[in-house]
Amino acid sequence: MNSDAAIALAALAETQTALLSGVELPASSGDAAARLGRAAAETVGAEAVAAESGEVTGDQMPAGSGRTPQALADEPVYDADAAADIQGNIVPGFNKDHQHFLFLRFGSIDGAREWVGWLAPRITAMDEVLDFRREFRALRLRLGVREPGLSATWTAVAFSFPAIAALAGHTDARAFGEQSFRQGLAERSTYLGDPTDPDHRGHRANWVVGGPDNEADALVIVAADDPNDLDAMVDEILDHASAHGITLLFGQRGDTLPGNLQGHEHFGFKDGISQPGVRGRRATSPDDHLTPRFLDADDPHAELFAKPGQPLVWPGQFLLGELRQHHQDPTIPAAPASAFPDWARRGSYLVCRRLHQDVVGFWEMATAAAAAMGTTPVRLASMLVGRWPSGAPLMRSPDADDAALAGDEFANNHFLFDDETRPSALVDLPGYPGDTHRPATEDLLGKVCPFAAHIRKVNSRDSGTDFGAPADTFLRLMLRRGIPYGEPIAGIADPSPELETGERGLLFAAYMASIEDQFEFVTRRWANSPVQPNVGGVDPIIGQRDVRGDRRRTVDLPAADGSTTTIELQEDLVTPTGGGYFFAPPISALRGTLAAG
Amino acid sequence: MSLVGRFDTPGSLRDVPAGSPLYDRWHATIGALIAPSTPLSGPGAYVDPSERDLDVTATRAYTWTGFSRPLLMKHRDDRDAAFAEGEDRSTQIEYLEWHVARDPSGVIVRVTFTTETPEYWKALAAVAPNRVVALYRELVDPAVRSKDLFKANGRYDPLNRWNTTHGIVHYIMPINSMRDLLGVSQEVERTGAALDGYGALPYGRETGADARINLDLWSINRKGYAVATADPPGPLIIDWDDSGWTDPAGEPVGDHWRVVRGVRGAALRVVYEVPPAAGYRVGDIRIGGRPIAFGGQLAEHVIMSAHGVIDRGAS
Repeated sequence: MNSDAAIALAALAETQTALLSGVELPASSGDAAARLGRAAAETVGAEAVAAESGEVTGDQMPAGSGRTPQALADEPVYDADAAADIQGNIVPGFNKDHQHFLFLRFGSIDGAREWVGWLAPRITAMDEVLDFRREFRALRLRLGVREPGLSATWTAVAFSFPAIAALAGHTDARAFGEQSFRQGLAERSTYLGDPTDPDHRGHRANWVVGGPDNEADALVIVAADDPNDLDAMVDEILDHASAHGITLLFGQRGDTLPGNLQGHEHFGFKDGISQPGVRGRRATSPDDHLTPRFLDADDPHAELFAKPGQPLVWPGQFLLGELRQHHQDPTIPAAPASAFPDWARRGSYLVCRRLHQDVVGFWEMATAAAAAMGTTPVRLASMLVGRWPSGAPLMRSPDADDAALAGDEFANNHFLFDDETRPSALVDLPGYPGDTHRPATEDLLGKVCPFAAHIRKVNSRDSGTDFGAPADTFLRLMLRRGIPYGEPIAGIADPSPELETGERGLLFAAYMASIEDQFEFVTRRWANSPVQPNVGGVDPIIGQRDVRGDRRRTVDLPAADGSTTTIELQEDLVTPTGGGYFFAPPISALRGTLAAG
Repeated sequence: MSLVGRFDTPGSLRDVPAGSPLYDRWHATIGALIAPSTPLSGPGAYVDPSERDLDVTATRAYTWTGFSRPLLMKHRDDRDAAFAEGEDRSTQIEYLEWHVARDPSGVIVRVTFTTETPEYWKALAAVAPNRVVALYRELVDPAVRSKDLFKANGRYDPLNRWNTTHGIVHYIMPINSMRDLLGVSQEVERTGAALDGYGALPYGRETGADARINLDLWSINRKGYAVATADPPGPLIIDWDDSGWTDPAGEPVGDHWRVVRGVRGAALRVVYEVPPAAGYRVGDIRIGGRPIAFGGQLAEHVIMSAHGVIDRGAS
């Protein structure tokens, strides 16, 4: 690794980002966690912290303040049965610091069905995760601490198309209208731009799991705050699987990065900041929204966003059979999807990709390109991502990283691309001083955040795209549930050669109602294309492109003098090494059709 | 002095010699479709570059997808139904039309795409009818006769069989035309008050092309910029994506795209056809593992563009 790249990489851990959304918690009341008799979690994921702190403040809205959030009349209400039926990793998401992905292959069908029946009561439902979050935020407020000492271990499961056919029968399997799911990830691999050269590590034949000869029947995701709890649950699941003739094809442990890099991916950038908010609420109370609302009803975009930069999306974009997003108007629902068997309602497709990251290669590329453009490696790398390593968006901090901005969840995702971003009207948020960070100005021509920057590629926000007005972009959003795997090198000074070449990357996982119209659309049409949604090159972070074996990709970057520099990505910095297309059924189906046959 | 002295023909084609009245007629045709200045959304304006001096400080390619977005939205749960319906030219409304040729067994052997406008061919027919016949013979079939293309009164018939049932030369869908492209470019933002793209919602038009052009131009206008069509005006095929397309052996297909009019990156007419030596047909190709049964499956991977210039100094 060259010295400039090493310096840039080592310095990534120096920035300490606030993790409480810019909200000041009330003074600590001491060791109340111990008084509650709960095992203190050692760590809590940065994303979860941010989300929880947001919910804290939302619930603290003074009565009669006159500032109220907005909800549309047609938004669905989930009763107790429904809330116990939806898997909790779909909504609201586990977001635990430690996770284990288990890719399993069935033996006998009878054994598989029995195992599914055993697993069913161990699958975590939406209501359990939502309740945990509610308790977490209440404790945080009472204790006045960021880590209130709650921990949990949760489990999710999903099945491949062949597994569904085996468990539920071919007639039911054929009722799934999603062609990509029926085909599987391996068959769609080169359509996603993956390498066509069989000698390339990223060729599907070389995948650790999910290739033509090693496709998994089931993917179990176990998530925990405590690594020991995680291991115990994994062992229990695998023991029962083995007893039912099920083998572990591949297992991958995932962990959030340590210290200041918590919540970052291996290149060193904060990940998962921008997630869609799911519309709807539980029946428990009128304000028990699946996604907490922070925009005051008077805000011009209150019907569209849960908080600044977080679009509200109809749940049918993620859960089969629910009201979907209308293709022209985000404020009215469209009819639910219908191409699935009855028992699959409220299930979701799960796309998993094991993406190897060449961290040293990434920073060497950034260093070389930075030298050519007369800027710093960190700035250049940030142009490729669209955010600084802390997560602060270039659109709001064009010249330097800004940890305070990054830590303010009401500001760090509040920007448009084509027009100036106006201040939001928020509900009353005790402890929040307001968004005082530099506002984002328009960047219609991609001079601040390049058109090819990852965050601009995969979510064009307010811009028109090659496929429609901004309303169409709502149709493309996914619920991302990924986590890094492998030993980190970011933030390590003078890493050993073994560490430099170590295996690390991202376990990409995302839930959606249409693999083709969401994951594949974003991947192929936007990330991989040099001209979609805008002319300017491929997504330098996740873009794959293979035209008859030619994997050269270019990215256009704006230079300080207003000119454009085109850099060529010589190497594959992100390489697919496994995964699969799965369906995460409702929990009722695990107890019923899929266990009984 | 204006930016554009005389609007050039689509793709700067030279179907007739220099000095032909076609070129002045074409300029007049385009000029009649652009108002001198139209404020679209905010203080900027869409202007006629043949009447305005512009200091071009930026250019913009407006890109969209060739297959009908309305069909994909209509058939969200059944993509094959969208492609099947997309075989009808009347549904090909993204400024890209195509003609599918099949062999006797029904397998697709060629798909011909065009972005050419009826206005251009009418203008050409008015000044050089024999050249039109010659071009039809070259592009579609040597059997084309003059009387197939021209009515008894001598007027060119855009809906002639060589441009409909038996082939394709230019658009026939009424909303695919230079008039429509430049018309939508001058469309005023509906609410009159949008401050950003979200403020322009709900957006009424369903095609990707219209949305792309409208949303981009409205945003440019909100900055106070003057924007105009690049010269020559008109829709083009800027790119296509055949990655993940495989031959019967499962290998990546060769480069079977042939630009017949225009150039790569700015094509007006493109033919997709597998050479006989390759030993397979278009219909034997799989896209992402799915066999090609409809031309629209290719059109979905054809990327369109129109091009503009921006003057950030004045509106």
